[in-house]
Amino acid sequence: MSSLALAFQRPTEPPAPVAITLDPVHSVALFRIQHLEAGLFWGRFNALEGTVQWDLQPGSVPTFDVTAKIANADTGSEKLDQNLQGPNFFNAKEFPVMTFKSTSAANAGERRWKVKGNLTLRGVTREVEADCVATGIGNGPAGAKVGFECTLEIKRSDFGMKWGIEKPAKALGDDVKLVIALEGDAQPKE
Amino acid sequence: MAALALYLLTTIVLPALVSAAAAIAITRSPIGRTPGFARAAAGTACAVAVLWAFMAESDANAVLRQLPVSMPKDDAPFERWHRVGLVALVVAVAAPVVAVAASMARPRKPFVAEAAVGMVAGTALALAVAFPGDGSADRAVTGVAVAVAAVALAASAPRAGLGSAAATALAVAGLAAVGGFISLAAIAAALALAALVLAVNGRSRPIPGVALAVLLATLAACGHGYRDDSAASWPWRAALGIPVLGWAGGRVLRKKPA
Repeated sequence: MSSLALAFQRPTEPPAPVAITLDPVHSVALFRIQHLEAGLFWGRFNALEGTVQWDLQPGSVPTFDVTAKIANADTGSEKLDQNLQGPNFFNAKEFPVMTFKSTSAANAGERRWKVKGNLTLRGVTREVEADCVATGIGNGPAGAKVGFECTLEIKRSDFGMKWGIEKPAKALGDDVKLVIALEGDAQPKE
Repeated sequence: MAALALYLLTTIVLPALVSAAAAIAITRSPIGRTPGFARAAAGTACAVAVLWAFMAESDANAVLRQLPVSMPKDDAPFERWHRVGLVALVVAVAAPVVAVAASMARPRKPFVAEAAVGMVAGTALALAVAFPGDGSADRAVTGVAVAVAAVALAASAPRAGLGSAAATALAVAGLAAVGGFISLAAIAAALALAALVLAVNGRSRPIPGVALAVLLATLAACGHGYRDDSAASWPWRAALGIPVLGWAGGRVLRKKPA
């Protein structure tokens, strides 16, 4: 068992500040939107990047700094992916990334938090609140691995992405659910 | 289905038909016989169709945001494709001025004058408007395309020139639709329909070559800038060659013996 994992199990020891560097292969954001008032359509942003600061102590709160490249949007349809990159949706040419930077967090159970932060999308920054949980701490070949999952809901119109809400009416929903799965390699801060 | 029909009606059909109908009413009224007024009406109608369709696809703030106007509670960023709306607004205002001035000046060589005004407008467009990824070569192509298309449209017979403009706008609309840029497709379709209606009317003579060229070049440059990186560049450029083809085709047909 790594020293980081041991630290997690011995809360009486002073917390060791840890920078968790996200592993893009195992970090992904799923988004869900209603299509034509019917099905709930899921897409994803692959290869999230960023860091999480957390000392692995159950009572302490993490801070998140996560970036998704719009070019990594993946719906399973090449045509749809192309549409999402355009100005009617993410406008990837002018706003190539979406970021979430947490500003505060409150404990909401064992290794669960209500995390507030700033979501920047299409050049618009809005405060959002996400429910986050540390899903586990494990051992990888290169050391400790830490996993998180965050869920939040936003209105895409708040970020200027209005096509398909009123014109054409109800082609696509305004409410978007995001499920963000993160996994990173924990490195003690120097 | 009803939502789609309403979308097409409010974004394409109404902007095009109302603008063109207003221009036709002017050309058929006594004021339409005043030199330059029929041309001014057609140029403004096409620009208003583009502006109206643009605002239907985004909002009025997208144009106002580019002007020195204070807009409380508006923190949306400027997006480069919003220049389409600003260009349409400028053309709508400038088209009558240019048309009336040209009719009053009565240049000896109208196509040389058209080319000169087209070059000035093309240069201004190239300097003022850049879409994502546009280098200086892209902007130079847009500027030259304005001058060439302006002369080709003005040199064509009125119906043929407006028909060429409609075909060019339709080509841009098709390319935009294929590329997933639905707003641009709708705006270009509105211009295509307005130009087509004016072509059928046939009373807009001489046709507003520079105004149409600026609108068409702007829409084509916008689509070119936002195209998928893997998509070819040349179709967007080639679309602006349609007015030249229309003019050349018209000359060939006129030379054929009856």
